[in-house]
Amino acid sequence: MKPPRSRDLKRYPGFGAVTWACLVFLYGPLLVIALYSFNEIRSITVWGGFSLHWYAKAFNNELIQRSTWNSLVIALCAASMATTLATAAALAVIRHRRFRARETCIGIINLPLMVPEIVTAIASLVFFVLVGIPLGVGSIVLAHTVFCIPFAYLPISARLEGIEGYYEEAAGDLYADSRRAFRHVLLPMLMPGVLAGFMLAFIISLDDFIITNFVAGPGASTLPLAIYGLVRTGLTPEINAVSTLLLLVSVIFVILSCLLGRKRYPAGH
Amino acid sequence: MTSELFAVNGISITKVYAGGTGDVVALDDVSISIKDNEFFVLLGPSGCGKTTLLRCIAGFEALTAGRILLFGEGIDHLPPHRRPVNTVFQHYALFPHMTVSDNIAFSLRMLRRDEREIAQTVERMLALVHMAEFAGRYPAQLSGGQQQRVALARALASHPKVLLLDEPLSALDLKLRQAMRLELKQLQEETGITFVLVTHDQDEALSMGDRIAVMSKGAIQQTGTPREIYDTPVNRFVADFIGETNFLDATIRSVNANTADCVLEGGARTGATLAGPAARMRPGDRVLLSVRPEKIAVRPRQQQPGAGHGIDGSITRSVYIGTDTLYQIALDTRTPLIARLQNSRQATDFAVGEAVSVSFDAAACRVLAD
Ligand SMILES: Nc1ncnc2c1ncn2[C@@H]1O[C@H](COP(=O)(O)OP(=O)(O)OP(=O)(O)O)[C@@H](O)[C@H]1O
Ligand SMILES: [Mg+2]
Repeated sequence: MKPPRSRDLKRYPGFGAVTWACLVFLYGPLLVIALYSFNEIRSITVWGGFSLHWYAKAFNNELIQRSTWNSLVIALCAASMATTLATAAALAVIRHRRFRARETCIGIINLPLMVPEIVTAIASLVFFVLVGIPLGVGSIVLAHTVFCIPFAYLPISARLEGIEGYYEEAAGDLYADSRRAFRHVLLPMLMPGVLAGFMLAFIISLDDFIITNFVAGPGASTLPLAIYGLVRTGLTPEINAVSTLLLLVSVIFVILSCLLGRKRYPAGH
Repeated sequence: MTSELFAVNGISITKVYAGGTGDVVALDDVSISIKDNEFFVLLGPSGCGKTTLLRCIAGFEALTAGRILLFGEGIDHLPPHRRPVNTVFQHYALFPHMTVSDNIAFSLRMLRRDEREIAQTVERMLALVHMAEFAGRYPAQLSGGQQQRVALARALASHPKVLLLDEPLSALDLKLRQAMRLELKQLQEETGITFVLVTHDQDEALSMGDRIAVMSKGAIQQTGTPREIYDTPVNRFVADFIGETNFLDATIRSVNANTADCVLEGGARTGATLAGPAARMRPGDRVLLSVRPEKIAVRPRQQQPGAGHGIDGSITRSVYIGTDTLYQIALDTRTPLIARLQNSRQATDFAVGEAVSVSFDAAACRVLAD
């Protein structure tokens, strides 16, 4: 994982110390959480031997079951919608160069990345109440869809930028109308980007706490909300177990997303 | 009015690209008639509008003005996928997620032919371009020349009425390019499909084209067979762009039928051919003459010419290039002239500084229109 220039970089005074500090503060807590999820005793600071029973307990916890299910459904819906909208946006912005509001559109699409999440959260809540949308799973899906769009947009637009316009022209030249040119040529070529965008959106939705907390309403709970609730009643290795699983899922999705984004077509052997 | 039914008939095509910094007139009132079953070449320097004309025929660009007829029928209202015209793109544009077979089958699938027929056609196309053993490969697993063949097969599979090729050989190395010229020519003859090929390479144009249209600055300068274009260029641009030539300033003394008696700068006399747009030239007009280097005869000065028009000069440089020797000759008017003499015919070598007399037939010397 060392970049080729690392030898020069290493010469800077304090480079080693800063690097280690970053690694420790970033990954240390995660390692500790993961480690104590396997603790035999009910402590998150004292090691009492290896056991998987906190995982068993977590799997049998009805609140965790219900909120996990909610989280998955919400993430699936929000990511699907966000990916669809992001794909449409990317096509409009990148394929129609003469499209006048191009720059503005890119700005608007990416704006949620810049707005503080707490502001988006409050604004969403106020908006839903104002318009009369009942708070619950539906409102969470709506809110997630909106703020997942820029995340889905990134890998999709990057992929689309790399696809020369002449492929669609060739498809049209060979008797495909624009719908079939999209279906048979552009979409398959764009697919790795679309999947990468979907996975990124899925994981962003799955992990979200702040916005969800505001727009969830009384009944609906997601996994991050459930974990937060459990933490307030006291830390147990059960929380560590759930968190570790969530972390694992996130890492796997992010890695897959990156790999897909980089996917090339079969090359010579 | 009886008129021949042309494969492609472009009538006063104008194409203006509206740009941020100003409009670009890519095609300026271009009219063109391409015959059925013809290998037609559009030749011209970079930026002259060749690709634009091809894209107008394919339907990728809407005309600003004018009409295009395909076998007598207007096609301007048809989108590209409704035109029985296929394109071989400069960068091939093979679909990277499809195998060679699927690429070739694409147009047939879009036309909803039945799968049995498609399989047969694909096989025939693979054989036609000698790519049968690569049927299952992906484009990225092929060399440039192989991709080129697949692109050809893909465009030919649906047996279009016209095949458009935009600099199809430019991405290949020299050897392969020369081999593919012959293959393209052969392919055109075998399939009987009208080919319209764009190139900026005059050798390519001369060796493949049944007819050539020479373009410059969005307009067609001359259309004709390779021989017509080479031997009887109508203007300075065509004479200069195709092959090498000598330009001589002259004044017309008298005109007899289509031959003009001209006086060169230094006073020497020569006959020159007046034809095409130059036919309107009259005695007293100052004109430009074009003579190909290989049409010039060079003799030692003392051997006074009995016939023809001898112009005195002296050799200033001699370059041996194998089959021929190029001589740079300073005429006594100091106009430089290049003569190209075949080594097998030339018994005597001329030394630098030697006084010579050059001459050429009136038929080999063209009066240019502008
Ligand atoms: N999409 C476009 N927008 C604006 N101007 C364009 C566009 N396409 C081409 N042009 C301009 O139109 C003119 C003709 O371009 P065209 O591509 O037809 O030239 P060409 O003869 O094919 O040249 P080359 O040999 O370099 O491919 C050029 O001046 C070019 O800059
Ligand atoms: Mg071009």
